[in-house]
Amino acid sequence: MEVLLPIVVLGGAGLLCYVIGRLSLSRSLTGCVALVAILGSGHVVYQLSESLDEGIVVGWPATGPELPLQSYLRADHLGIFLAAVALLLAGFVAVYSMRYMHRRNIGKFYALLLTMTAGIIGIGFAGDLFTMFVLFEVMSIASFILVAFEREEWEPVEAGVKYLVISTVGGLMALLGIAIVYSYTGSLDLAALPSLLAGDAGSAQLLTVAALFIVGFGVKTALVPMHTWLPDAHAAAPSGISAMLSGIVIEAGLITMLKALLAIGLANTGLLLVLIALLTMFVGNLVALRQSDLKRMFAYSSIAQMGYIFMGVGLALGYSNIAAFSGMRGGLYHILNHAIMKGGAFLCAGAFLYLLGTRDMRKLAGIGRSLPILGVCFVIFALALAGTPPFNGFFSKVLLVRAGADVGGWGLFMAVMLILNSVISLFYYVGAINTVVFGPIPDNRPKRLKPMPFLIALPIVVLAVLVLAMGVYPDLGLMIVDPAAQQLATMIGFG
Amino acid sequence: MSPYAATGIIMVVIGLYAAMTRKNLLRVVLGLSIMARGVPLIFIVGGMQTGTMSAAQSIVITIIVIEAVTVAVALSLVVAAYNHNKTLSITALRRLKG
Repeated sequence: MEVLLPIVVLGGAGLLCYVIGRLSLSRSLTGCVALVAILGSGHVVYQLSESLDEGIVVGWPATGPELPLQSYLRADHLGIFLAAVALLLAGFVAVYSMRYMHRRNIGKFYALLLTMTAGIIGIGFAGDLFTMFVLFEVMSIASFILVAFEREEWEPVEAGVKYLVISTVGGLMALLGIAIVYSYTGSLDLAALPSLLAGDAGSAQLLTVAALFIVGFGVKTALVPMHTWLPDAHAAAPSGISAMLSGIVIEAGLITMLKALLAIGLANTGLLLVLIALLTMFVGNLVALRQSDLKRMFAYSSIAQMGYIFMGVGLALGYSNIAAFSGMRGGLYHILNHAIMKGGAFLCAGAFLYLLGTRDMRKLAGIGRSLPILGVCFVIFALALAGTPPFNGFFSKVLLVRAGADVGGWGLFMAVMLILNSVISLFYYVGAINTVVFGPIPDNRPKRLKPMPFLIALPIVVLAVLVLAMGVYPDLGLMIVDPAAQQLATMIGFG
Repeated sequence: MSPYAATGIIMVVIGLYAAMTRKNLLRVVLGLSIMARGVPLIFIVGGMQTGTMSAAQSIVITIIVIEAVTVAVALSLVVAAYNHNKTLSITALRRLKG
């Protein structure tokens, strides 16, 4: 039951938020209900991780299928990791949105935010392929509506339609893969599938399924060339949702893909993933160089960061004898760091958008000097994203480079490419800092800006402090990353 | 491969083709809908082959529910797009750079 509880709490609080928002139109009250639900499920997840450390396996309705094809949830370290990152970010976004969002649709907003978070947590805990797919779609459908939330304007509608069509096609491809697995084995249990399919490694149908999983879940993960929806959707969504989409939703797509691929026993997908990672990081970084829209630039940078994460994951899958642990560790740690720093960066861009009503960096010039605290936070996020010490992005990139160096050959080449890409990304981040913080203030800007609400500034400052703290004490993050990476490494060893 | 599974795969391909090539937003949504009809057919075939038909049926009903929700959201977005542009042509969706 404990494993279902976070999902039920978030879903129930979502309904409650909708009713409260409808009746009272109070943003603080609705937001506080959402925040309490997030904290409550965070507490349950913490208890789950405690009992997991004691060796108790918690599942719902049982720890494994009692009937054939029974759908079930089971807590493991990977699920705890995903839930922890999702709840951390959702908490900050819930506080931020209390003042950022307009009061008219506040109930719907928090209901969808909580539903999306519940879907992400469910993906991590899902014990069979179909449950995982259903919760993946719960997350996706909530995110479609959230992207097109301000539908009085054109941009969110266009971005929403694109995102929905591309993403649904991807989801159905993945579902086709699941259907093929089911008709060959008669089972969808993630734990039982590797042994059922062990005899078929490398067969045509397994390669088809692997391709369908990579394309289907890869759409959600924004792998190049399936990334075209991402810059539009992430730029057009409300800023809190941009932070969630970029910080955890695309990563949840990756975890889904990883769980599905591990269930069918890899089928030699590691090297392919490394190649896609190479393409993804170059396309993301090179296109980001040319952006003048702050949120679009961060969105393209998310594509590049997914490339880094995929490099670690791909090396772990492709060279499972040497890099299984170090690659996964680098990849998962980068997921955690990316959630914190990119979440913060999007919230910061949203705060500028709230004050000045524009995302164009030239029109934002000098805003960092008018608001020194946010300016400092912006510099911290940008430098962390570029991977400069002493911020957290640096440490996870070091782990990824070390995984590459462990492998040698291809891995070494990838490590060099990652460093090269970090240098490219430094160009546009330093450019952004130069304009947004040190640029000349345009003449037509009013002398007195709107006051910055405390609840918008607070999550940004706390996230910036976290970025710095995790850069100085990397062990803070490794506490939840290491068990998950260890679990994945053991699973790869089995396949 | 049984004819049922082949029909399912053909439906997925037709739906994918429609979603990728049609210029009318409603036809794109119809394409998605056809795709989402083809996949459950393969689940049914799988249930027949492996003798787990009851489980396959519950899976198919869940897929139908998900698909209905997706199509409802898609149609609401299509209505919003129509209200902005007074056209259902997909060429109107080219203002963002992608």
